[in-house]
Amino acid sequence: MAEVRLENLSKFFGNVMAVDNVDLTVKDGEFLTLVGPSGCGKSTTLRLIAGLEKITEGNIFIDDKLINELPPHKRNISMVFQSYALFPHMSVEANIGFGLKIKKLSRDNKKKKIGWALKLLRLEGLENRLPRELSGGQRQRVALGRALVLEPDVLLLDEPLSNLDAKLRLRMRTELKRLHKKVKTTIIYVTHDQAEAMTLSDRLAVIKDGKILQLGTPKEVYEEPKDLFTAGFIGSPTMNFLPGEIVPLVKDENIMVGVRPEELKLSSKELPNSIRGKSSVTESLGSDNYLYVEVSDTLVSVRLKPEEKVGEGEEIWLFFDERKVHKFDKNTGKRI
Amino acid sequence: MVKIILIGIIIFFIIFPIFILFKYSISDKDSIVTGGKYPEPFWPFNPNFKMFKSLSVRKDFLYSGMVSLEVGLLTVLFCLFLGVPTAYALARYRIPGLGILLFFLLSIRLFPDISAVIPVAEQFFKKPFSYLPPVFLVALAHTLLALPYAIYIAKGVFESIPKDLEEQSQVLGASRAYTFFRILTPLALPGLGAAAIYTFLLSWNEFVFAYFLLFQGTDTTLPVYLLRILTWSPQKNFIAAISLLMCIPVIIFTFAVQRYMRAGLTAGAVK
Amino acid sequence: MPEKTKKYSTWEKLKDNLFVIGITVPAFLYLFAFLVIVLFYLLKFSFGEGLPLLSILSEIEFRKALWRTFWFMLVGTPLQLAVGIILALLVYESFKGVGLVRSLFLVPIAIPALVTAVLVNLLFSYPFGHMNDLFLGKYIFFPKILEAPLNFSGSEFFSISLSMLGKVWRDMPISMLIILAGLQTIENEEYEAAQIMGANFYQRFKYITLPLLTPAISTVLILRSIENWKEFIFPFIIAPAYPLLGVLIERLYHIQQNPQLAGACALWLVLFIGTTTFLFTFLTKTVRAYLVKV
Repeated sequence: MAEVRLENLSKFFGNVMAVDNVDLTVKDGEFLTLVGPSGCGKSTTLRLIAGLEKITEGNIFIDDKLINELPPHKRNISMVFQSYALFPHMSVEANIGFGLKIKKLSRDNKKKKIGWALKLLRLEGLENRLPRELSGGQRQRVALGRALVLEPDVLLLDEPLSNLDAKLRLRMRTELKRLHKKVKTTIIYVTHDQAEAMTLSDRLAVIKDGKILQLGTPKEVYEEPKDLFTAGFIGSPTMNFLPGEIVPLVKDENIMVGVRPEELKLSSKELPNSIRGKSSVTESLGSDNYLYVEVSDTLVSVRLKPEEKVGEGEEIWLFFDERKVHKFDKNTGKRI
Repeated sequence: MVKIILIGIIIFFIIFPIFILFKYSISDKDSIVTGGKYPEPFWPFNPNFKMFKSLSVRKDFLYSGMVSLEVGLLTVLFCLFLGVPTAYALARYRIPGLGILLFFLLSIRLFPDISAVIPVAEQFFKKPFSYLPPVFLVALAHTLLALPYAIYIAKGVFESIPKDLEEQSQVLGASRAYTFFRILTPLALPGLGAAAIYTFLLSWNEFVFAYFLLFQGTDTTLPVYLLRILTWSPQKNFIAAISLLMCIPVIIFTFAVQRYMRAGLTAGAVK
Repeated sequence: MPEKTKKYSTWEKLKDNLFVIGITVPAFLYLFAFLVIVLFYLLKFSFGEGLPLLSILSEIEFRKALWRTFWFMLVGTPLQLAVGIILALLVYESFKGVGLVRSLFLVPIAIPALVTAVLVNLLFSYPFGHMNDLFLGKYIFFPKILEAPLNFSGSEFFSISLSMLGKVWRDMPISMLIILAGLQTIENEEYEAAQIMGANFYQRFKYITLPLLTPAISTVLILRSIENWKEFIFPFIIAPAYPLLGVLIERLYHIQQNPQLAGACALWLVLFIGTTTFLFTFLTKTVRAYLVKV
């Protein structure tokens, strides 16, 4: 368990700035996620913390110790890769025990620790299997076991769930939460899936173009996104954006108004301060139904109550609670 | 770093002998006959192309070159004639025991040349083979050596052309022959060209079979010519010049084909 | 109506099959014919009058040649493997100019084997040649380590060693290519994972590279051992006074004009190759099973 601090961290690949002056403190024992679209620099940041890439500028501290020049194995960290990177020719037991073997632990000590990892990740009975004989979920657990058995101060996870199918992904999410509660290691997690970030993290950092746009708890980021991108990135289905001039209570063309599908209400009659639109298709996502409404040039999604049913092509009015609305400056993208 | 030094050493180890070969070929007499009075120079005192000039008019050398060329071309002809249809069938049709056939094909080359040459020589010196011109016989032997590779390469070429193209052509009404000549062949030509070049080079460099089959006659391919010259202990520059001339087509083709083959080799090997 | 279409389709099928068979058969027939010729004569000669296959075993020349070839194979094969691994490791990672370096490393196979052998003789010629001059200290940059020039082809040890040198030089690229292909199947992330867990270069090589390279290594060992057994050109040109098995076959056939003994020797060569291949395959299978136990 340790605190990780990034100070003015930057990384250049040639002329391209992959990580742009990042300042971040991951609290001791915290589960922090770096979330953002592909190529935003989150994986690079992780690899800088791991020591797999050289820092161009800035500092990284683990528990107030400067680790810039330390090679990966001296940082007391562990990493799980997206592809798991299990050694194909070694059994589950040998894979998990690899780091212990390098540390030259005694045979009994190794066996004890491997046993603990097997139990923790529910891999008992699979010790002698080879990676190719395991399912995707099992391989993932072996990769986790291999990382955790070394009792690292910090555990780094680089999109570990991307290779799993949807159902397995959900199951592994709960598994990861359970692990975190039990082992209490500081975890830095990287993903492009905002739902994952929302469910797993204590705090998350939204990253775009190598910069942190917002750092906060899932609740904070969801309810008070600081800028347009974050607002549109977090939450599923995505937030609706309406140009300020068509929103009655705003009537400002420099403002972009954001409102979530569940924050919108419908009326078949015109109400004061409502927006007129024409209903389009209804999407059923099982438990929730979303109606798409054409408003000026955009399609707005509205979450319907279970009993609500709206046909296509009908005139409809949208209204919302003005306190719950998100206003952003059109030019800077920042929250107002 | 250690790596750079090692690479440097190896490149030197590779280039140095070739440089020496070149050096000898342009050496004057004093540079190669030292009599122990001075060390052999790394660059000749009076470099010249006299050796090459004299070789260009030397009848037996030119004749050997012709023989090598003839044998090479005949070999390519035989290999393509036998191998291309086979490769096409192997690529396009599901033949039972395909794996075993291919394995057999490639493992032929593991059989020692020097063991196989004795039976082949014995047979080729008997009738009816003895009536055939020696050039023809050597080409037959070279075909034996090159055919497995030619088939393997050509098969790869055909496999890389999508079957859909042929099927499309036939659906549009073309006969199989038309499809083969007007659609398939142009696409396969570069790859088949590589197979032809590889076959030619194999025949051009081949020594064992050529040596045995031409032992009693006067015809010689270039490698056999070189050997016969050696028995008269000729000058170093003479040997070097012949050797170098033997190499040139090889080097040209290797660099041209190598870029094409590397992609094929690594792709196939990684699978 | 149905009957007519049925006959048509079987006829079509037959035509198709005949076509396929027809175009494949010539090549395989051609190769098969040679196989028959080769086996016929080898067996005819070996089991002919006086059973040459067995009588040759008592010939000193044969035993000497066998011994020399055995050592040639035993020393040359691991040497080829080591060189192949070193070359492959050097060009495995991408760096500026790696393409050029790889092309340069491939040059030796472009040179015909005969030329390479002749070149070795030129370099190591006696009494005057670059190598002799070098060892006699005639060049300022190299110390004197010989008193008198060495007749390399007159010494069994040196002439055979030089044959091996020539063969290794020429076949370096082949081993390199096979090992390189094997290296490229290893994911880079596996090395990174090992690196994070504390493995240094040698540990990564020992626990990850080497075991995963075993298929490529065994391929090189088997192919190279076969090549070394049947080697003819290099010893023929460089060490004619100390024949290896291949050279002995030529000697028996051309000089002693004894095709029967030559055939018997040739058959023995095939048998030795077969046994070695079988042994190597068995060996690599057991080694691989052992390594997986890590």
